[in-house]
Amino acid sequence: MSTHPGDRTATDRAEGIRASRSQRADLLKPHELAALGGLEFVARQVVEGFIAGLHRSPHRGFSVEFAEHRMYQPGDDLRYIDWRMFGRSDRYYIKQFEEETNLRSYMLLDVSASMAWTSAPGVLPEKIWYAKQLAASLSLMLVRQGDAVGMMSFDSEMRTHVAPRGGRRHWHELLRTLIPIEAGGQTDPGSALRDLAGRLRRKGLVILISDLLVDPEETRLALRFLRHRGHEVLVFHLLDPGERELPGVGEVRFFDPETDEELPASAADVRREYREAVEHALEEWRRELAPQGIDYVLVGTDEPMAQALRAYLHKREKLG
Amino acid sequence: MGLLNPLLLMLAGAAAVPLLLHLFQRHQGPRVVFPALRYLRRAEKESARRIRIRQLLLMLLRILAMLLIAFAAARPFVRLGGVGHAPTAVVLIIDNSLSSSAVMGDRRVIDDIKERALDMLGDAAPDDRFWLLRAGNAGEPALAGDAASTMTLVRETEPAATASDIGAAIEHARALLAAGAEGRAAEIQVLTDLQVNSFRAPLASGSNAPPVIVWHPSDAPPQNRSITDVQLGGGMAPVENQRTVASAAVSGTGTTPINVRLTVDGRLAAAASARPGESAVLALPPRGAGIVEGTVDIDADAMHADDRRFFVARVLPPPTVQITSDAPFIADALAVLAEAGRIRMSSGNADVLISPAATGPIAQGRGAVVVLPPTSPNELAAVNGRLAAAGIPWRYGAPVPGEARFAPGANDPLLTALESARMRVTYTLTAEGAVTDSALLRLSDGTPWAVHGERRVGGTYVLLGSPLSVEASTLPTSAAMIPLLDRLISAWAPSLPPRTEIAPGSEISLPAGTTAVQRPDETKDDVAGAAAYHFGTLPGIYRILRDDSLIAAYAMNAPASESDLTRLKERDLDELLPGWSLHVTDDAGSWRRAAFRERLGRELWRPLLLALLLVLLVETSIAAAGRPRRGTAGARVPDTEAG
Repeated sequence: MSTHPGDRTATDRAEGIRASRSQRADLLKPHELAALGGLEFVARQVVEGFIAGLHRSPHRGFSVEFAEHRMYQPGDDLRYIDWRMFGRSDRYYIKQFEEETNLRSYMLLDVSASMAWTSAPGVLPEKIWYAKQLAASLSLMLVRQGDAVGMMSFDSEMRTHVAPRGGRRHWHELLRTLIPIEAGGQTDPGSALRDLAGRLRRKGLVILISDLLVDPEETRLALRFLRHRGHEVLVFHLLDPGERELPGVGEVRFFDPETDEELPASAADVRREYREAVEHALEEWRRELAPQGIDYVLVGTDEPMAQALRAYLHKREKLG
Repeated sequence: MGLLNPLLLMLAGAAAVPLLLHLFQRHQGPRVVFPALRYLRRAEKESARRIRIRQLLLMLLRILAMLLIAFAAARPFVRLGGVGHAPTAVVLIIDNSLSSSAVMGDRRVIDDIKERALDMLGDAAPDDRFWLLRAGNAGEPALAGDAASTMTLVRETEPAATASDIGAAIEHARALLAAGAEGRAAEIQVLTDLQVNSFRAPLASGSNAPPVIVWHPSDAPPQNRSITDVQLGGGMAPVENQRTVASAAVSGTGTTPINVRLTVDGRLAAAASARPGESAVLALPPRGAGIVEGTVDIDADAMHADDRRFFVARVLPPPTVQITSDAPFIADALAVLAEAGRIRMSSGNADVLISPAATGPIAQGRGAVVVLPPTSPNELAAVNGRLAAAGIPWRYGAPVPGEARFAPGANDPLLTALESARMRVTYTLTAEGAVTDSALLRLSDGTPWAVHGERRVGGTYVLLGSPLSVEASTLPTSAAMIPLLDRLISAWAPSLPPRTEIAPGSEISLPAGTTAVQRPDETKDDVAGAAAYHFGTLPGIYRILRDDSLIAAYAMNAPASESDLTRLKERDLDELLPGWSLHVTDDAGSWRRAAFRERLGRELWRPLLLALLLVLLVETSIAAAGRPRRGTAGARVPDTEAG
């Protein structure tokens, strides 16, 4: 039986908090994040850590309304230096702006049985944990920017649905929906995406968080349909390290919990071909989605959240 | 090319194991939850051909490994192309003991042995050196020479009437090779019938000893019957003009009676029949004093040499007997023996004196004395003093309470007759100092009743435990009385009878004045002035002559142990020759191939084991390519269920 990363001892939790104080939470490893606490706390820590680091980011600020000044730090974009302040005080100040937007975002969360898997129980989080954490963090960032955020979880059909709205209170409602979600059932993102397309009246940003162990053609067709309807699409492909590199077991019967299929094989015999098959599949996702203007981000469940958040930020910048 | 252990090639059957595993083994590993099965399916499709080839290769390597093991175990060898063989020093041991004269089919065992030897010698090279050890020729040194001279010796070899000691011959061979191989490869070759008695004792460990190659006949040994012993007069010397009997022990297999004939001085004297394990009793007619020679023989069988047994006996005049006490029952019994001509009564200077311990002259004369015990315990002290003065190391002790009886005896009519006798008075007999066991008769509790030995003053003595009176025992009135006195006077009291049988190859001191020894084949050896004579191994009668007068004769017979043709098992040799490098075969071809091992080139087991090692290394590396590596990413089993 696997151990959920949330089931941590007090010692683990204390270590996690100490780590978060000495380091930005968005840069912590998932198992360190899990030791910090529940979904809300971790999401806040991640987002705050991420925002605190933005001044060192090469990305431009995205807000349009001036908010305040702060001291220039190496790495800041020179275009935002307030030269007038420099003339008065002989010090460099950076102008910071407050966002003003009405983007409608929609997060699609894959909760099929394959998302409940981890290659290293107790060490690495299950994909579903990572997906929920990522969804909570992203939604917090969206809410902070004044965007409306909605969410839908699905396996072979829609499981939960939260209509897009803005505000902190709504974010808490999102969390209340996210927390009890557990993975199970088969995946059919095509129908979920088509369902979503029918519900979205206005153009917005659709964020798909999934391990993409799905019918690729059907899923890409659904994503193209969303694009065709004018939505921006961002795909987070969650990949456990044990899926990228076949577990080093001998003669075993591999069992797919979604399809109940079994495949006897020697891991060592097929390791190289497996690695190639995975790379080929990943390359196919990139190759097929990019021409459609769909952003595809591969996220390892052993990687810090910052990478995924940066990808989102990049996408958000493009949206203006 | 040949094989030293061809039977071990059967191990090659194990090569079927990898093949069967390859054909029938199915994946039955544990179940592992793994959602990314779609990638795995694609990977397996792509690698299926490579996996099949790898598994086929592994199977072939494993079969090859099994075949190499079996082939190496069979100890193959190859003759180096065109080259004879490395110079070899060979000790050839030929077992020409009596048992080698047994006929199997239409050939003697010795003829097969010689043929094997000549085959081997025919393969010899000029640089080889040979020693021939004929195990049956007692005392013969090892005969050194080249192949040609050894072949001549082999052809001349005939069975000897002796028992061989193959173990001693092998030890001798080892010493010879250690000293004289001179850098040649050393080898001991043994040609023997593996007769059950051919090894006296296990040898010391043969580590570092030359290899021993043994050939023995493959056929089962033939049935054999023999005369293993001839006794005249039940151990008593034949008496002049008295009938006596010859008892011939018949041994062998089966239950059919065998005809047994007694021949004396070249004339058939008696015939009887007996089954193996029994004794034939043959009447010997009365004869005058002197030496009597004869044979006991049975019908010829597979081994003729033990079908006849020679004997020599000295017929003596009846011994003179004197009794020095008033013992009516003894006197009556002696009178009967005298009337029958078994003894002569004498009033002085007798051969045998029967005398009471308390009063008789037990310390006088140089003849034999039969000492009667004291009639009363009061006399014990005086009697023991007289015994000590006569130089007799035994002492009488207190009487044994109650009645005593004799220990039962088997195959001796006298002991059988004595079983019913009861002794009311029996004095214990205790030896003073170290005395070898000289008890002639024992009571049922094992204590001696009659003992004998030699007096320090000369002559012999016999001490009895009970007085021969009706008050002291039932002996005087029993049927055993006269046979007991006859045995006492004729067998136990006299000094040991002169030796009349000699072992093959033995040596004796010649009587003074001996001029010649006539051998069984009628040839004479001039021995005038010689003190001793060394006999050969030819069975028969050897006559000791002074000029033309016969002064003594000896019978020489083959050892009875050679009559048992049972063979040792090959595995017995492993125990008899612990740690020796042995190759035992009953096949002529295998013998010829095994001889001159160095000639065979080097044995191939070393290169075969190297090849095996190489195959196993390749197999391991190929198999390892299909096993999980430690520390690789994803080395954990994420979720395993019982398979």
